[in-house]
Amino acid sequence: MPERIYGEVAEKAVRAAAHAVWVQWATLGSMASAAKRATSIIDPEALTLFSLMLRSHERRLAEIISWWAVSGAATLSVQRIRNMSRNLPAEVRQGLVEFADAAIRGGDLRWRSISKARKKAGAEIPSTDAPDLRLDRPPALMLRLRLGIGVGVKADALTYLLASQGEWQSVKSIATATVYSPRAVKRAVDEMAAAGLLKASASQPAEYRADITTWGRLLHIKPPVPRWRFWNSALELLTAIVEWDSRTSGATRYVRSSMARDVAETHREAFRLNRIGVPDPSFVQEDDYLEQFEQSVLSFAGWLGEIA
Amino acid sequence: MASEQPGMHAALAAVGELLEHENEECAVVVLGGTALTLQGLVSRVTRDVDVVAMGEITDGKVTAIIPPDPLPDSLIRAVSRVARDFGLPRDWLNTVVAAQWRTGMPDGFEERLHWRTMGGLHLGLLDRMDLIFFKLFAAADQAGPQSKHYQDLIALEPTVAELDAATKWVLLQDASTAFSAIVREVADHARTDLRRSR
Repeated sequence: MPERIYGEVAEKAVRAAAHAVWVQWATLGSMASAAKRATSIIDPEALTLFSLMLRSHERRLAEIISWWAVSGAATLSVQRIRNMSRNLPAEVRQGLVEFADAAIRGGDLRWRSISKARKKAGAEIPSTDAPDLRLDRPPALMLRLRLGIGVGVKADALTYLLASQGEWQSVKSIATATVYSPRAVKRAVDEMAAAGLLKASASQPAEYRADITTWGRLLHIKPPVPRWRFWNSALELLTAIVEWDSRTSGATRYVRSSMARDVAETHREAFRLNRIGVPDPSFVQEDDYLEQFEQSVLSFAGWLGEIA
Repeated sequence: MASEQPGMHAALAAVGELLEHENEECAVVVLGGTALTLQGLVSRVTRDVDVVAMGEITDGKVTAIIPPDPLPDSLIRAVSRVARDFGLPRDWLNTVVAAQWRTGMPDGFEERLHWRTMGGLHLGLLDRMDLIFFKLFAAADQAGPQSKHYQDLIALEPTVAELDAATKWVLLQDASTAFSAIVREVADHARTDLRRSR
């Protein structure tokens, strides 16, 4: 895949995202090494898709993705990653097909719905010197709970509630964070509340919380639990920034500014959910928004660098 | 010569840039305040752009003038985007005056159009003579010497012959006796005002 040339501002966002992804892989014990460790919950589907997107920028990611397809594919939700990839560029979706092919070669037949491979080839055996997945670090909580409870909405909803530091959360906010349907989330959290694993409020609509003291003891995690970040929204925002950069390369200042407004308006939630302070485009007219948007992208890049 | 009104000029230029970016071309014929200000004939704030006709484009050149309804989708999209970006009303560029096609345009107006190209937007501005026709018509429709149309008519400084020609054309647009009287009254008023100012 040829390396893309980005404009200065988009380049900073891409570079910051590549760094964040690299740090997360290092935290999970892949062959990536980094001086820093991830400080927020690692979202495995978002991490996989981010990596597929950025592999042309950071070529070493291709090797990690190959390792992950064999060592970690079983911890991923096929349905969730498919939902999250729906609005991503064709090259990322193609990368996901290749990932699914590799996962099937590794023996995980759940990926058949994404793979183009007709039948399972000979199982791919991980090389003996491939590193083991590390789940003992707190940012790996989502993967750890999936291994314990099963890949699906219950493990992910519990991760989100623990990462919310015991705060009450609505079905809507859990669904937004975990990218499952509100109906699936409602059913899962009601069952978990009935089993005493979560607390449900008496209010209507009900809200849910996880007792982090009790869960922390069980999981040997000292509060605070790493914070939740809306990586899926961040991934879509980065995609939009890269597309904006590509579509408006060589365009007039006004066209760049106008299309930047589209990105800011469409991805307003990505900034809000991740608490990245950016100016409201409606307060600035004509092409004066361009500098503000570029500043917003730099804030996003800064956020990626800080919270990896 | 009065200066152009920069806001509307910038908005139209923005439409042209958007069209060009999408590899689209559109041609519209404009009358009213925008046609006056863009040609520097009058200086006043223009709130909208009145599109009276559209141009068919072949190989980058306008080859025919046609009614403007419906406007091309690419132009509608660009206008809507500029409305958002410039804080303008959604109908800042509209075809309200397009009904004039049914009652008739001044003979030969197409040959007198002054074309300007702004990116992918070709803007046909009515000639001063045709603007005098329309301004007399509008001034009669919106009576009173304080009306902006009357003020625009005076600013165009028509000669007696031009006013006579305009009166003849406007009377063809509405045959009612009451309207004819108003048109003649406005034209007389204009002649008097112009004589005093010369």
